[in-house]
Amino acid sequence: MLTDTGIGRQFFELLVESLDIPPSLYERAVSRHRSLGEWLCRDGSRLREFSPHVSPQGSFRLGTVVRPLAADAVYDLDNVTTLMLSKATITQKRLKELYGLEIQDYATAHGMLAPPEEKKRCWRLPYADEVNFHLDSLPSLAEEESFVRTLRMRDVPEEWARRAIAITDKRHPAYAKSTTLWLTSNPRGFARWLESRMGTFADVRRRELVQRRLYAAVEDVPTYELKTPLQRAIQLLKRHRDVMFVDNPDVAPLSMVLTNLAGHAYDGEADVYDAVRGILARMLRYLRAERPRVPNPTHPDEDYADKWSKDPRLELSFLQWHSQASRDFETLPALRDPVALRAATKRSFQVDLRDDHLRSLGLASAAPAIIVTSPAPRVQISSPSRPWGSLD
Amino acid sequence: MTETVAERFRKSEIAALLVRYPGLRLVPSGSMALRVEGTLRFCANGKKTEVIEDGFDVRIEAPENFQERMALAWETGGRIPRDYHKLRNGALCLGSRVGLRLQMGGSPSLLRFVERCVIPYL
Repeated sequence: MLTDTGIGRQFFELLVESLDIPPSLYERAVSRHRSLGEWLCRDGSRLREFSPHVSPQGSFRLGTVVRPLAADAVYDLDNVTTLMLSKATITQKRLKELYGLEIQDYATAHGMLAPPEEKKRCWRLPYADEVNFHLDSLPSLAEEESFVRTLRMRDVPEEWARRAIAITDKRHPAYAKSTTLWLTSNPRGFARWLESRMGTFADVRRRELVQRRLYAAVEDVPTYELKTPLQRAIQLLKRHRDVMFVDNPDVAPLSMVLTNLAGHAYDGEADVYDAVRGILARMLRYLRAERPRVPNPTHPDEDYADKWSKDPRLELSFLQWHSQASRDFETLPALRDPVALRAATKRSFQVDLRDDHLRSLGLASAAPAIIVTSPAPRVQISSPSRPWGSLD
Repeated sequence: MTETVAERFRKSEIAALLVRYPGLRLVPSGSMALRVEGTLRFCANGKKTEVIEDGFDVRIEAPENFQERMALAWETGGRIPRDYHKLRNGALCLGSRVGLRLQMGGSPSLLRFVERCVIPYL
């Protein structure tokens, strides 16, 4: 017989299982990044002499992808191509154009039906096969030693600081000028930082996969295979956000804001049940009152919530999401009425609990449940206002 | 000094409202207005009246400047007749502007609004 906490643990486990994407999708993403990397390094590539290095980014890199709400939704893939080239030798505009030429040739050579689309910072490659992907590919330069030293002086460990990059942005005032004042970012450093926050669970899982002969060495195990409590908790938080903001996606809290704050707030909990509740209880502590509100821990000036100052709805949306998520992650696992649990799971996560799910939780769908409802709150009415009024 | 978004949100006591009335849910409005929807279950009693336990489906919206402008509430389950003390936009006519402001006592709390203005109407 499962205890209440046991039911909660099992409920979150089966919930996150149903949000996960199949490993084949991750593998397909890896092959697309690899294919682009091979293209950029081929004989005849305009960028080959600058040793292009393509690395996946975003939720596919972090192992926190959740199944989209709509069956025909497009998966976002992100990667960063880093070149060994000094900012003094090229303008942002020139780099973006050179990269664009390679991307366009890649699309033609691979028979892609739609042409690549230039975005403010990246090039978007649309794939259309049985799974809809688009790949946002960001050209960048490895940051210079002086910048890495600056990060080091701000207590960013060497291993993360070295991954900082300079990026192009069409809105940058010096976009077409020869200058070393480029925007900087550190997505690869952030990915390493998040892995460091996963605790020992990541190492245990890597060893387990090697022992089962699924990978030759621990360093071959991709992050998406780790399925640590932190990654699983982030998946649940993102899904809750997706459902809550389905009608207002333009003000939904960004995945990177949730991921960043969750990474900070995670305290080594051993399972997703404790992890997600602990994260929600602590995550507001890591939201800074001043800018940068949600800094990249591997690049303290990079603010994942930089748009909040221009659009206060975004901060309000985050606070609303946090309040509702805190309630839902507290109350859902405590529900013992199968009908109520099914309805609440559908409402908060758009997940249909099956009969076998309910049975595994010890809640047979057909069996009458003994339901203890909390009494309605009591309100004392002493001097009510009388109905009357105008619109404002 | 201008009130921050976080201060305004804290003063709205939404978190306490959701705990006390678990049938209500925050629904993003896409604007700076705060919106909650769902079933408002309560147990109310007056000075001389019997205890009334009931629940109504409602939608409640607080504008950005909630302290200056009053929040609005709609009964969405269709139990209250269309012509019974409602505003032109279908919101419940909860009371006079002065009466409601007296009930709120200058507070921007949605919890207080629900308990002092909405539940007494229902």
